[in-house]
Amino acid sequence: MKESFQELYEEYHHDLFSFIFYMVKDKPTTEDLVQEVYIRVLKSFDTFKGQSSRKTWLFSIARHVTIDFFRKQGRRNKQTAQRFDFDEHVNLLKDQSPTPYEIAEKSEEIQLMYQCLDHCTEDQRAVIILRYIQQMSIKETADILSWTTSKVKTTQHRAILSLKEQMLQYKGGHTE
Amino acid sequence: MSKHHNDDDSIKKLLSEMPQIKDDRSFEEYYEQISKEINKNSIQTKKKKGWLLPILTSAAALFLFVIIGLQFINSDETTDGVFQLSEDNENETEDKPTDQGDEDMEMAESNHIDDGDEESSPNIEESEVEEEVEVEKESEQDEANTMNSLDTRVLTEDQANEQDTNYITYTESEPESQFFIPLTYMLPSEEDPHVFFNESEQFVGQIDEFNQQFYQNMTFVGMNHESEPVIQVEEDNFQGAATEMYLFEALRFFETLGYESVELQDQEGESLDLPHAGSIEEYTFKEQKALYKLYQSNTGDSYWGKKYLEQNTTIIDALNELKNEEEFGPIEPPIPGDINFEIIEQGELLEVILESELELGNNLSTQRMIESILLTAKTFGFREVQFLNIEMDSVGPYDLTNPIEVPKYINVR
Repeated sequence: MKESFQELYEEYHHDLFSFIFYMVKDKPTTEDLVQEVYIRVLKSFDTFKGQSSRKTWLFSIARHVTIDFFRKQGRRNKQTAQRFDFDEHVNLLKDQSPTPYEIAEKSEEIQLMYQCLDHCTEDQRAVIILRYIQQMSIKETADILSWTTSKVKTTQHRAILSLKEQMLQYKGGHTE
Repeated sequence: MSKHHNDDDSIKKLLSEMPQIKDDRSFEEYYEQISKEINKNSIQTKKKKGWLLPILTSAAALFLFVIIGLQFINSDETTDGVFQLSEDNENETEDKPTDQGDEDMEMAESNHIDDGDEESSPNIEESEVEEEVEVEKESEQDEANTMNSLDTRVLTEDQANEQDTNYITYTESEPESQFFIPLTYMLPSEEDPHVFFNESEQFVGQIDEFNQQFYQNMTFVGMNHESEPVIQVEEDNFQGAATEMYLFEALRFFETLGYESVELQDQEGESLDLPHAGSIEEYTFKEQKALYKLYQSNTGDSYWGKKYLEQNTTIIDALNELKNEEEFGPIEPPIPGDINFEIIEQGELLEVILESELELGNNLSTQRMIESILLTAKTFGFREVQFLNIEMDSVGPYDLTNPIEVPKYINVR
């Protein structure tokens, strides 16, 4: 079993870790959730029928683990943010976990985009991470989220619009 | 619009440059922790459900005994199979779980593999017969698929979702403007379909004889705060009932993209004021009763054309109308006149019971009859149609043994 786990780990661990990290934006929490994903995976290994790919299966479990986490934390309401308020947002960020060095060493625009992700809904953020950060196809994303590809496309479109709006407001240095 | 598009691209590019986040923990750390957790859960489960084990074991033994007994009553061949199965089960029960995390996980993997083995060891004779049947079925299906690939011009949402492609649907009309002709085009998945509302000239106008005025004098200007598309309309150009109808039909471009409504505004950003529809800020797409017949173009190609019906038309009247010739134009009735049917409405399922002296064949005519019924039923709010009393299991791509989903995309090119 260790070999199978190791195989899974080596193939998908970095993507899995990044997916969960961008969802929750906190490394210790990410480690806990990744561990929970692996536990669920190993417990249900014998029920995996191979109808989806292992990757889709793994990320689908990761998605559910993350949703459970948000529910437990009662953060769902915060995620469906109202209008963007940059000053408030900056203050909020100061209270949050530190920006990881992988982000901190990147350009200012990347750092800003990292912050703007907070103002997408959970669904939008999941689609954005899977589609653009993880470079998955629309079909893979739809399979992971158990959505139709139409819903993925619509959510993706709205997420891009939302991010564009946040970025413009930041660059303009004003709030709406 | 190209600026919007470029903005989208720059956002996507930035996102693609977001770094992977590295994990500070090693594989061994995870493995150790996970083993502990699984082991802990396993012990707790055993403690909680310790009394269940003897009962379950007894029940399993009794069940096995009954199965084996029944098989002895049957043929020797099947008995051999059961003995094999019981041996497998005995082997499984010998793999007793231990308190070690490693072994718990090994058991999980072993169960997984055993499942696969059972599935992959069917009776050989049965397997050969099944193979022959499969070959026959595949041969029949190949013929049907060939017909499908040549002539099917409709797609359900599920079929469309199988491909990593966007679809956009423009509306034109035949020269008499009695039938609207929706025309669907495929886009690469990375293309934003919204912008093509303003770039209709890339697609519209490929069939010379069609009326192509639908997309003039209106512009997609973006999305509002409710994530609805916003369309700016030059209202001076929409001063008649027919042109208003063209406007609303053209807006269905966004309905096929999955939107339930669009915001309308004049060139000053105010609500739209039309002579017949009145003042209108938002247009919500509603299914309007219609029927679909085949338009034969000058080039010999056929297109599904949509004609709206009075709102008090019943579905059975609409289906019977599909048998009638039109007074004008090269419009073909898609159902032969000597085919009759009854219908049963069950919520979103329509059952069509065919009564025909004719023997229907697995051919293009029958496929088009089915498609015309599916398309027409859709406009009455049905989501599936089940064909009954038809002496075939399939026609073209359609499995007649089950309800068939109504199409979403029409005249796909």
